[in-house]
Amino acid sequence: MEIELQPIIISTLILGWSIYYYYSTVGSSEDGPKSVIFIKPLVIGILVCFPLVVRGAIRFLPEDRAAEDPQKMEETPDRGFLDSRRLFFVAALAVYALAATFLGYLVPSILFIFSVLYYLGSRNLWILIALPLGCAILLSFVFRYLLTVPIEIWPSW
Amino acid sequence: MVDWSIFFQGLSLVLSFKIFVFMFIGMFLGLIFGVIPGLTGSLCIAVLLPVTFLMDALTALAFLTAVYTGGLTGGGITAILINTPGTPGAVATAFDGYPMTRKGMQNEALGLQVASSVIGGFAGYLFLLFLIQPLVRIALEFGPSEMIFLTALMLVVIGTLGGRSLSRTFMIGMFGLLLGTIGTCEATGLVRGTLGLAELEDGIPSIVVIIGMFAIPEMLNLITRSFIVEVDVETGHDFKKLLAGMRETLRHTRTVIRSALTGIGIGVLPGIGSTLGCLLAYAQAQRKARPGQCFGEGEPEGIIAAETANNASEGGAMGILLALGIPGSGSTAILVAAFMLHGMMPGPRLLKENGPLIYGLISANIIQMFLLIFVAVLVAFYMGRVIFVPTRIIAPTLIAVMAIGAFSVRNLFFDVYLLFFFGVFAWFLRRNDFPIISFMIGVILGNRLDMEMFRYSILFGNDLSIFVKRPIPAALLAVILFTVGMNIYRKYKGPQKGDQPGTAG
Repeated sequence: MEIELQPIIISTLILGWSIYYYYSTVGSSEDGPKSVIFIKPLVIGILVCFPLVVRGAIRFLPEDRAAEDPQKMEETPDRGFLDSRRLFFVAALAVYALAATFLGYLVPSILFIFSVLYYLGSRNLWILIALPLGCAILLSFVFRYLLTVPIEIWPSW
Repeated sequence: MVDWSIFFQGLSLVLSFKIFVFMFIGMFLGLIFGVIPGLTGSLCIAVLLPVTFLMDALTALAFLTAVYTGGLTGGGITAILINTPGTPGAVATAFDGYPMTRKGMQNEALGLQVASSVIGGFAGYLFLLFLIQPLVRIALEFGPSEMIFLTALMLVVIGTLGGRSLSRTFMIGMFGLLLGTIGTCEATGLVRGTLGLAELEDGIPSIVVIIGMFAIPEMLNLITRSFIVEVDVETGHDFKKLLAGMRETLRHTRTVIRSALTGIGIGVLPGIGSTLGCLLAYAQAQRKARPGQCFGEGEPEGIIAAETANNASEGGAMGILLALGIPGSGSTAILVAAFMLHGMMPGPRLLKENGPLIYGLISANIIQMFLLIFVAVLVAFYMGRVIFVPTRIIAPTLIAVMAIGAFSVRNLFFDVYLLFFFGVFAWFLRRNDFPIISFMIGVILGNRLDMEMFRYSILFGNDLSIFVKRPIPAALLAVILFTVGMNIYRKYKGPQKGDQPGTAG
């Protein structure tokens, strides 16, 4: 038997949130029941789909295939989300978004591009310096001054 | 069929130097993204969407559809030269394109590909020009029940024809619809599901969600490789041979017409339009093969069938988008975002309210097909320099562009969080075979369907039988039940003789 954990986790989270969404809306005020006319059938639909998704994530393999599978796993080079490059990238995205809120767009963008370039193996000094600087400055200029997007370029303090 | 006075109004709007320049740039960028496997036209539209802020609506849409056209065509170039389809819609192009390259006939193959793409795209938009009015007339008859069943049918089609799990398709589609309802309920004024965040009171910005869900998973996949492509590209350009390939296309009129019709017809199907269209057209050409034709070994008609259908599907997908407001593919989902960015919502009323703009857009797309000849040849000849950009340069720079783009939608850094959150979430969905397009259709239509349901409840109360008393919902329901029933029957009956794993879509 082979169990895919991720679809089960994803569908559980979806189901949990949907039920929370329904109850938090329906009980919030006297307009609640009117506000879930569309939400209610959707939550019921998700409830119906949930066991089917879980059932689909559990596969009963014939014995010969079950014996083959571990070898298959070893051959697969992609480690999914646990791949260090992906983990680093996602962490960098989180830090970048947070830093941009407090430090403005320019400096976090330069640091983000520089750190990803460096972590992914770039050692060319010219690229490491010129690309983050050039890219961040150009984007800031285009969006702030040409497209007049009111983004904070520098820290507001 | 065509309101010619409005058409000429639209055409006059398009005939400006500015729009031509933007279409040229858009097509060039779309082709560049299209030829790079892993990057797609959809991603390019997502990245460029915020740049269209200051453009007027027609220029922005002409620019973005030029990117779309370029992306569809670019995928075929790499399919021919390196046996790697740049986009899923170009998968059948590689079957005969690459064998031609191995025989040293890459220039002829590129000529066939460019000419077929142009003819296919042209046919698709002619279809759109003549059938948009009848389509809109039908769509105007659609009430809440029709829209709900049509959305359900879309999800069924994505699940069954894409060879995916129906339960996952439905679950993620319904989750998307739920997320689309977050924010202030337009009917009652109640604030729903915002977790106390003021930024969500106007709902989740679908533009940001769509950009994130397309682009971030691509980046997360790219960064695990040093280069996108690690093979040699055939060079040796010969313009005369390329022209000979183009002329050759015109000799296969039947294949061109058949494939264009297949592409248009299949293009209206959500999620898999261009891919299924090109595979079906290829299979048809193969079935009608004359003695001496060897499909799979460098047969020109294989490229013609695949590329004509691939580009013709664009017209079908746009037809459904403009008439019903339902995106059938990733690219058209982002085009919905482009419409929204310019204060419009695709759907039957759009043609009534913005007739010149819609006809202008269709004319712009027809004109783009002529531009495509020159730009595609240019990119095809110089693509060798494009596809060797290291992924470590592409990923962080595109993220920086998308971050500022997401901010620009509502001038909130909160949207950058949403962009990254939904991007990473989409990576997990994709990896676990939850079709993202179902989720996007849900997010885009959630609020609209919520309002439709409210209208329905005011008109008919709790009487659900009205749903199936009208002919269109009844017919849609019958198709849904039949398709789901067949799917369950096939599943429990086990794989058929001749069925191969992974060929379902």
